[in-house]
Amino acid sequence: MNQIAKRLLKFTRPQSSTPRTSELGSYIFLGAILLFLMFPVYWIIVTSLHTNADLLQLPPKWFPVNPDFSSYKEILGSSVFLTFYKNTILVASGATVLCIFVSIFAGYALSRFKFKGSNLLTLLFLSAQMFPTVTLVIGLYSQYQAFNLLNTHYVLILASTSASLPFSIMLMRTFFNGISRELEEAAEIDGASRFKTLFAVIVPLSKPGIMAIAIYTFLIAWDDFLFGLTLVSDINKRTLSPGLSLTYLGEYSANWSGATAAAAAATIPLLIVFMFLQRYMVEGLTAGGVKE
Amino acid sequence: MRLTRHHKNIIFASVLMLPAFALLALTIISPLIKSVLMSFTDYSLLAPEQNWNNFANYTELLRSSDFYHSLTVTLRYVVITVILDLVIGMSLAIVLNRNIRFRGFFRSIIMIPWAIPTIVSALIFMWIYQGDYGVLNYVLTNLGIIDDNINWLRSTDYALSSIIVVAVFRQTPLVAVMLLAGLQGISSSLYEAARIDGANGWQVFRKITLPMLKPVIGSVALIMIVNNFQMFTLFFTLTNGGPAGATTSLAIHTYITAFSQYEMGKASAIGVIWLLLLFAFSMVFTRIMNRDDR
Repeated sequence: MNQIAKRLLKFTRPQSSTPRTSELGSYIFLGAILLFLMFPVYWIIVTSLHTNADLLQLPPKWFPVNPDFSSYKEILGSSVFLTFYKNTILVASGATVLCIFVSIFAGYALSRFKFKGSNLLTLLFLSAQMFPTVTLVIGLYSQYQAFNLLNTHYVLILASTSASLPFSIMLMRTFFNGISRELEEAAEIDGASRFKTLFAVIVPLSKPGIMAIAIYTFLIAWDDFLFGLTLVSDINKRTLSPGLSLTYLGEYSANWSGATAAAAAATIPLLIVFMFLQRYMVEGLTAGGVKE
Repeated sequence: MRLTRHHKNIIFASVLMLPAFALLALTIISPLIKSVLMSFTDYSLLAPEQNWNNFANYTELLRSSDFYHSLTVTLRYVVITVILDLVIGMSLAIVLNRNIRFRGFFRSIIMIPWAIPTIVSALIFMWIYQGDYGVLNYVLTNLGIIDDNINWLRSTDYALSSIIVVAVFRQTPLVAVMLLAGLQGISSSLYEAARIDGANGWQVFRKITLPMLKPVIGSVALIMIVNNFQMFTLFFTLTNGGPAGATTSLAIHTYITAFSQYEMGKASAIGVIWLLLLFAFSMVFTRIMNRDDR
């Protein structure tokens, strides 16, 4: 995995232009791909703004001429859906905060101190990303069952954190590697403690890295399906992804208007986060896990 | 004096590493060990005592056609998905690297499918694929491409391809953005030299873009292979392994064995074999990539 990371590095450099062949061809290709990538997004919105009676008619209604917001009203008035929503926000935020702290600490230690086994530890973190989640879930399930911890948010927070932690630690390490050690030496001469130096001097300088891991963890935790499905069976503790699936994707369910409205509502916070912070995300993804 | 400083460093570093190590031990290392241990037992959720069963899970698995079938399904899914990801992502990256109009705008909106939760992309495609009122059947019948409506997700012929389309929808943007970053790292002087020599577009792509981008393509491919190998959400929500096992991937097979048939021991054994396959693969892959680098 180290090699991969190294390769991912050779990235951001000034703009270059490939030789122009046929500009028209580019636009046609781009149009086709955009149709493939954007139509489903458009279709969620259009579907959610129609009643189910309208949806079960052909030809399909391509535009929301008389938008009908009843599905959204229903969703926002449904205490079950709001519970899923609240639980997801709780789990995703918990995982994000936990992941930020843990990866600042570990990333800093791996960047500044060469101790016995630190390379082995790095390797362990990196290969942890490759373990099949389904295998982990079986172990997690029987482990937490033994401790009576199933059906709690703690379990989901821990599991979601572990999914993004290895990448986040590597990313923070890369960021710290780029910060000169002279700053710490100066702080030490001033008599600051090590923890104080870390939080008052180093952390403020690594904001872009912290932003990147925060977004990454939040998106991954919000997207989690398998952990939420298996480790939680109590409907009051359920998160959005399994909640949507169990509520709307039953074999003969036909409430497409409600399903798409719920799906749109579940996506909006992510799109907002993403639109505003996209820059950090792309930078972070390309820099993450780089060694030295 | 120096020794105490050294000791202080060790203590400080250990304190910093402790939370990460504890978290990893709790959520990855210990469940993994637990899974490996369970794979040698007849542990079932129905009968909680665990007895050593003399590799019965493994011998049973290696003789079961279900296991090989799910491995084949997974491999077909992974190979086709990753190839499509790379081909479409690459073409998109090349187009977006040109001086086209609204480039910045296009670059940000193509990322939207990636920010959408997997479950949401599954849900919208289920509606698009729907047999009687889905927009896909409507368009295809009206264009005369198909005569009768197809029940995409319930047909043994089309179910896997339909899942692959959803996967490609969600993954292409990320692949394109990573490859685009790689393209921007290629020096423009190479392209200028090629143009002076009179190379055409295809030659430039074959002789400059592809070799220069090979390391990036390799890493992106590995990430996509590993991620798709464990794809669960799309299979579970779109088809749940059906129809007639046509889309039962390794992840689904493991999940059903563990949580529908409650045979935790057997499911763990699938997981362990899967892990070994993945390790072997990534070692071979890294070796091939390294050899070519030299």
